[in-house]
Amino acid sequence: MDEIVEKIYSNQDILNRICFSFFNEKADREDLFQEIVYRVLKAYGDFNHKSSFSTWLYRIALNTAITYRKKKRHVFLGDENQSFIADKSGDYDMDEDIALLYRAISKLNRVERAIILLYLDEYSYREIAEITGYSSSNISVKIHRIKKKLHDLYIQFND
Amino acid sequence: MIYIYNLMIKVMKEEMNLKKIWKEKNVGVNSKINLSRKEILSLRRKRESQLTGSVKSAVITGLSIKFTLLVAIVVFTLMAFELGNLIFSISVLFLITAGSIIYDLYLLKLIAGMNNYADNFESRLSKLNDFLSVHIPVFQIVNSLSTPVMIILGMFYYHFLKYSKFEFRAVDDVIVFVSVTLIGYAISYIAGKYSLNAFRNEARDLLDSGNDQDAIADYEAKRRKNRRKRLLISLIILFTGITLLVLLLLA
Repeated sequence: MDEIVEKIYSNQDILNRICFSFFNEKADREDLFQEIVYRVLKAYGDFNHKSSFSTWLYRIALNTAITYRKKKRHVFLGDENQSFIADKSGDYDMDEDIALLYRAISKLNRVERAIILLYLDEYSYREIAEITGYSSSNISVKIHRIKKKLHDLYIQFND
Repeated sequence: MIYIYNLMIKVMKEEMNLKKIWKEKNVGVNSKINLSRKEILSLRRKRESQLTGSVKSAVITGLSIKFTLLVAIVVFTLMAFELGNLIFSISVLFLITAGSIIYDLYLLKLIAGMNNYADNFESRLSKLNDFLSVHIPVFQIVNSLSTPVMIILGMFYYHFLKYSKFEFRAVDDVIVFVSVTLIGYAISYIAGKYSLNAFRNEARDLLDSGNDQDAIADYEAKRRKNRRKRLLISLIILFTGITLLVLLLLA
């Protein structure tokens, strides 16, 4: 158990990035964060070490984020009037560029968000295909489309 | 040509920029939530997810009722062993109940499979799709059978304990018996449909949220195919029920 606790402890940056991409409200992000950690702890017995721990962690975290539903449904949908910088919970001291990027990501649907997160974190197409279950060629097409969409959104918000 | 080349260079640069921003300016985000080792360890005790909880509890409740019915059927068979005219009816009730139990156990296994978060998410969404479009409607049909089985068995018990035999004395008896049994099935089916609606909507919303047109088309195709299958199963059940009642009447 100590081993998995240590691994989660040292990979919390990945979980933070995923939580920020899926939820705007601080309380929702914290709930999702805890849910992911719980899922990882529960599944660790079945971890077969065939892939790296971070790849396996990403798969569970994205599965949880995609299927995680809040009762209050504060899903961050990228409301035009809602800025990351002006978040209600007041916990932002983010750089403007990264805030805009997160805002653009929040406009994507949940599966697209998952794929672009993996892409931005420099996972190979093969690894992304393995995590998502889509074929490599399908991933290639999807990433091309999502990148264009993300880029357009980023430019739009930046203007 | 030069325009296309410049455009490509521009796109590549902007793409690199997004990656650069992501890599260099995410520092603040990376440590926003920071759990201690002790807090991580304590999360192991956190409760199960609610996503499949409602269906799981419906299946478990249905299983408990069916096991009770199965015991009641066995007890009745032992008590009324000499009533030859009921052997066929009791056998049918036994088979329906035992079959429903096997199906429920299969569903519990499927639910456990759906909770495998280490699976890739395309596969999880596909399992959810199958569960939603195939198993939930069949579960509703199968689960609703407990009520008519309970009514028929209750009738058998009542007649056996009061008259030591089972027979219809007038046509009215048959009409009441058939009506009550069918109404029991209908009420149970409608109640089950509404109780599972929340889960169905949640799961459907989840599939839609991916905006994956292939997944949605696949779901719609399965739903249409399953609608025909459901109609066929319902007709078979209705025909079997009416045949059973007619046989009871003739016995």
